[in-house]
Amino acid sequence: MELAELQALVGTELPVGSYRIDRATHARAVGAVHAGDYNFNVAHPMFGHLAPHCGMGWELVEFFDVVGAGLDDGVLFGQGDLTYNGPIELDVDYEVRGRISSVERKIGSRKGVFDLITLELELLGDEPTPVVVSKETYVFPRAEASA
Amino acid sequence: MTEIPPLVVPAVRIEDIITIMDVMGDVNPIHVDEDLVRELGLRGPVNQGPANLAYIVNMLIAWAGSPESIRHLNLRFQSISCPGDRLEARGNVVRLIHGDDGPVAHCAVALVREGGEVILSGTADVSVTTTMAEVVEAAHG
Repeated sequence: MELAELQALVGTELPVGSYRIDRATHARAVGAVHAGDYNFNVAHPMFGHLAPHCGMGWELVEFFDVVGAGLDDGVLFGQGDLTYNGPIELDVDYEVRGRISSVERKIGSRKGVFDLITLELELLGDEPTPVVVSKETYVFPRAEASA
Repeated sequence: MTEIPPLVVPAVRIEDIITIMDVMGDVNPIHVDEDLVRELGLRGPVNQGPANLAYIVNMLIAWAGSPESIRHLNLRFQSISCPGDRLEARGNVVRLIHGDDGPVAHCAVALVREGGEVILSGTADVSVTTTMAEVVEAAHG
């Protein structure tokens, strides 16, 4: 995909999504990240990433498709920026809003040409201020592209 | 600088990667497809970034005492972790910020694989108690 086409995607809003962290799912997730002794009545802060990511209005494959990538392209999670404005509650319905917030093309000595594409996602409860703002940046290898 | 007690992950496990895939609805084959990761030149199935992030968070919670203490994370994923890796989450307080909501420790954090490879690094802002803040300030002179 040409860089100009990608850059034109900046600002694209995702469909509004939703997410609810049920206790059983939460327990499985904390167990899988070596936090089996987690004993608090709010969600583990990793859900600051997981909840917006899982609840966003695109499936991951749709996102990849929009930016001209496939599941077998070796896409990696490159950077996470999470701002917590309050606790993430269990068994509460949250709305997820998001957009493509940036596109950057780079050349690495090992990776060759790759794109850094950032989604900015908001996890919203009853208050106007998002409980969490999550900026997730993905690394898209672009073997076919030139810088 | 005040060191945050490190936290060790004895071994990344493929069954945990599969659990997180299930929780996330993550269908990216890079986490489980041995042939694909070999083709991509990676050393093994890729543990999820959010799991690596969670190990850092676990360390911060153990230190600060509460998940609600964590205010901000900025983490750059520099390499991958794979099944069998022994990892250590590390951190130290760079400075204290005295805000309207009380003291906040601005910390440098990293997740390091046995042998020294940095998997991720970045910063964390963590609310601390007044007592913790006094200890940090004393250590920083």
